[in-house]
Amino acid sequence: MAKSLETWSKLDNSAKIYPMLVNKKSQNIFRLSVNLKKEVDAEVLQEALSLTIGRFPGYQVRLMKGVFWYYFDQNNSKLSVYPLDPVSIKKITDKNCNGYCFRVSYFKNQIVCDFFHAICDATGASEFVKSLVYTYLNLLGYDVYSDQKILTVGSPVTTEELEDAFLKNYKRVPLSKLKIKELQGKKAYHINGILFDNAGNGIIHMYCDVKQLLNVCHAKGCTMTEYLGALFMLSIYESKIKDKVDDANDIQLFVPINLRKIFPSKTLRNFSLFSRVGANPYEDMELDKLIEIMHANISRDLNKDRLRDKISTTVWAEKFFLVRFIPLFLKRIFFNFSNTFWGKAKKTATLSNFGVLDLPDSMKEYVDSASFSITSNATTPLSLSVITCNDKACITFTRRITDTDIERLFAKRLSEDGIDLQVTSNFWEVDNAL
Amino acid sequence: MRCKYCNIQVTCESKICPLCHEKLHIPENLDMPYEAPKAYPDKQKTSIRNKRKFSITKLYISIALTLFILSIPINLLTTPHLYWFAIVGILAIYGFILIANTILSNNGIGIKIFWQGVGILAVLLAVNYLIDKQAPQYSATWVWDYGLPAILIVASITTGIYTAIALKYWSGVVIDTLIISALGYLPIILYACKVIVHPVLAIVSTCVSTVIIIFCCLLGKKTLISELKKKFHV
Repeated sequence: MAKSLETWSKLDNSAKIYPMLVNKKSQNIFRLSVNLKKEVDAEVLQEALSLTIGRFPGYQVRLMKGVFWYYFDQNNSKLSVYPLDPVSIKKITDKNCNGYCFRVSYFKNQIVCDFFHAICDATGASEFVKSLVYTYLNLLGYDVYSDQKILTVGSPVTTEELEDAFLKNYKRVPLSKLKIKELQGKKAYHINGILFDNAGNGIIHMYCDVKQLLNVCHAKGCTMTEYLGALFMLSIYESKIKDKVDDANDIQLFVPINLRKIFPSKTLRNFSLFSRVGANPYEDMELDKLIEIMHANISRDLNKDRLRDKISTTVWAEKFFLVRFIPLFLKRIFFNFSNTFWGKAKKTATLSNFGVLDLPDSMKEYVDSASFSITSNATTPLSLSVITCNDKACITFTRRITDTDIERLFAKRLSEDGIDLQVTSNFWEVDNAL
Repeated sequence: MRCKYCNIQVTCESKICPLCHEKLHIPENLDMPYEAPKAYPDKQKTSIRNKRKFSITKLYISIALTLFILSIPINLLTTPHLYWFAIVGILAIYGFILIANTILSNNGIGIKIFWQGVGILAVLLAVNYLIDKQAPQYSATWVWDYGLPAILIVASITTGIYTAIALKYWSGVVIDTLIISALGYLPIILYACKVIVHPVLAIVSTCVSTVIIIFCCLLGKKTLISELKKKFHV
């Protein structure tokens, strides 16, 4: 039976945890930016945003507290575009975004969209960003076509876009078969350094020709994620562990997996899980060996049955009656506690490869590149994210510590492999770099 | 601009390399001065509002703590038989609730009123315990007889009026109003349990709560059911 859209919705399985982990200093946010070839017109962007949001009812929401869980309520407040804040990937609060869980900003030729992970993952967000840029270019009078790659304003909203894909792919499994231990992992090495005493993240973008990068990867017989992950681990080791620490735990990278590629879904909400890649800092620190480790771990975690078991485990945790009926404030205490001891403690850093931001050919003429950043925090103070758009790869480091040694070593190795890098930064660590 | 140490090209406005922080190298074949674009806006000082909020709370804590510490020797030297410094302490905590929870926080009206009620009740109980027990005819019940019902009547009426005024945000406050109004039945329950001796205000509190609950139910049964579904979904 057909149903009208509800004015409220539950958070998806993966999203449920994010609001509980928000504290004064950190919030799980990611940023998708599109760099146009011309300066952004704020008024036109505002108009484009007002039109685009109507096509994405799942994002036109406000996060509310229930007695047992958070939920999304329809948000009819004004949705505005803002000049880009110098504090990068600033917290999204009820006040600074009119209750919305995302923020659209502009600076020179950049359209910058920050999303709180509770509403969507990067793949879902990219559909919104593509649609926003498409509408913006259309309003400017440019001759652009969607080529069935864009959810255009006016196209029908489907129930698949709003579904909780975790629930759809959940299969009831016996308690004994749940992969709880696998989700826990081992204690990880933590990157140390002097934390910024103010809010915001240090951001370094490294742009390069994707063909150059792929050629290097092909020569080494690996994927881009495997190559960059191996380089990342090696840089962490050389900068922070080698000749400095005698008993460091394994370097553990969290690599998000987009589940849509394995379990077909059109959802615009969260639908990703993590693969955990661990390497021993005293045995595995050679590039070829690290590439092998990356490959073995990611391939293992891409197994469909294994992923379905993981999905079932996370959904089971949500559906477990004891968890369901615990009041929200107690859940918050419990999740923060368990995240500190079992979550952050078992992660060195995150490496997120978004893949290709696939734009129609007619739009490529107006778009220079894109960038993708994810937040870091005090316990995992460095994150690496990658996106490709218009044959340009953008490798972004987001950090909460002042030193940039890992990034320097990473860039040095890329240069040695013959990749020309163009680097930009927000110089958060320097008072006056100009 | 290039960094000869990192072998990278720096494409944003800067004199130094973002990776090694060494001075950048200007290529010799550059005919005219090159102005690289800014990658990010200029830095600003931390938000003034956040700073002010932080300093007001900190200032209050410092003053309240000083007053409390000062009150202890003054109390012991002047009236050693009566420990009124405890009331100063409770008032200081109430002041903190007033500033942090009611004035500066973004909490909903329900939570603000609830904690105000708890704070005032705590102050009354402290006064009741410390001062009244010195009186020849000590009565421990006036807080329960008059204090608690009065607090609940004021709380119910305040949320009721707020709900009536803020009809636009009706869905956001209706549950808070209902919970606060439901607490208005507490005095009559305490009377039934013989904690309360004089029931006049307890009866008034019950009546006020009943009127507000009926008002809420009549005004928006649909909204109420929908709000209950949202708030209590598992």
